[in-house]
Amino acid sequence: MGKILIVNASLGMGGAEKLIHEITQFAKQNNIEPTILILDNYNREYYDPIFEKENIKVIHTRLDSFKHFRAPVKMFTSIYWAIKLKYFAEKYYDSIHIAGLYNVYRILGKIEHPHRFFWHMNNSLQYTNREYNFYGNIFDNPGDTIVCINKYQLDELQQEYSKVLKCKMLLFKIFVA
Amino acid sequence: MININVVARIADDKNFFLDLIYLLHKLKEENINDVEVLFIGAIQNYGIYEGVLNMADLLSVSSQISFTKASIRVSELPPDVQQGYFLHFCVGDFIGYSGMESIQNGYKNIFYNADRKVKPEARKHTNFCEDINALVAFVKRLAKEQAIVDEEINQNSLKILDDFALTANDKSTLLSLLIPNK
Repeated sequence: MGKILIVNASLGMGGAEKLIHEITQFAKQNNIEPTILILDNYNREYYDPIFEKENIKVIHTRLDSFKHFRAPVKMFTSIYWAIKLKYFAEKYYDSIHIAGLYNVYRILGKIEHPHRFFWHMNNSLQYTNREYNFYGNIFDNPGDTIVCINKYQLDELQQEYSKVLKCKMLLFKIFVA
Repeated sequence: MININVVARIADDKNFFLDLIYLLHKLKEENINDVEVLFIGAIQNYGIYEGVLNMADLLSVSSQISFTKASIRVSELPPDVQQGYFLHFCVGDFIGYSGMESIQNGYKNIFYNADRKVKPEARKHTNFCEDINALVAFVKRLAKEQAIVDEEINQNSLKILDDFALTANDKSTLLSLLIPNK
């Protein structure tokens, strides 16, 4: 059985969260076990009970700022996941999927894996002056792959980040599993 | 009466709300006044909200807009609202999950390309409006021949849903993303 880790910062009612749900459904259909890691957000949101019902593992934690002495379980959970993902992610997971380029900064230097996929969920139209506000260093690693969900994103990223884009890019439509 | 519902937080990453005020204004110019727009979603940016109110006031369409001011699940909306038309902002040909889910729920949908810099190439459905002029023309037609347009919307919906299905090739690609070393 394969295993994947999907990372996001919310399980609210949104497009990225719907995509996560569909990826988990597809994974289960193909005998792949998905785990969802929600970073820096301990709130129980729209998809939490849905995943619970579907027996999909969801972890709410953080990978830095560990000091949380009033909540020692949360603190030790954070430390456990930070070590596991920094040093042993490849041993536990076949691939890592980050929902939204706006979340990639949360995992840089914290989740090391040869197969990291960054799903791009926005268009430049949604940003001031049609300019994305991502740091260029999220595109540094040639081993990473940006998955664009529409053709316009490919052009937009090329236009804005052509000088720093070193990772791979591919187009894959949003879907219902 | 034509009720248009827009499901979106009033936030700066979805700031296409003035387009709808312009739509009401253009319709009003042609004496089409029985169109109302309901914005369904929390107000996260009060600057944008005030801007929409001000523009509606300037163009004398204030009485035709309203806000829920909170996020509400579409299925929990009153039945008369659910029977209205749900407008979805698109980028070129790209339709997001909200449009897909709205079709799945059996609602009547209008798709509107909110990006003036790109032109949709693949979508030729009558309820897919490539720009604001197409949207105005569509709602004008809706006001004239609602039953015919409703039927067209129904037929187009099924075709749009097909786009979200995975082909054998898609499945194989997706598997290679999930298990790259297989």
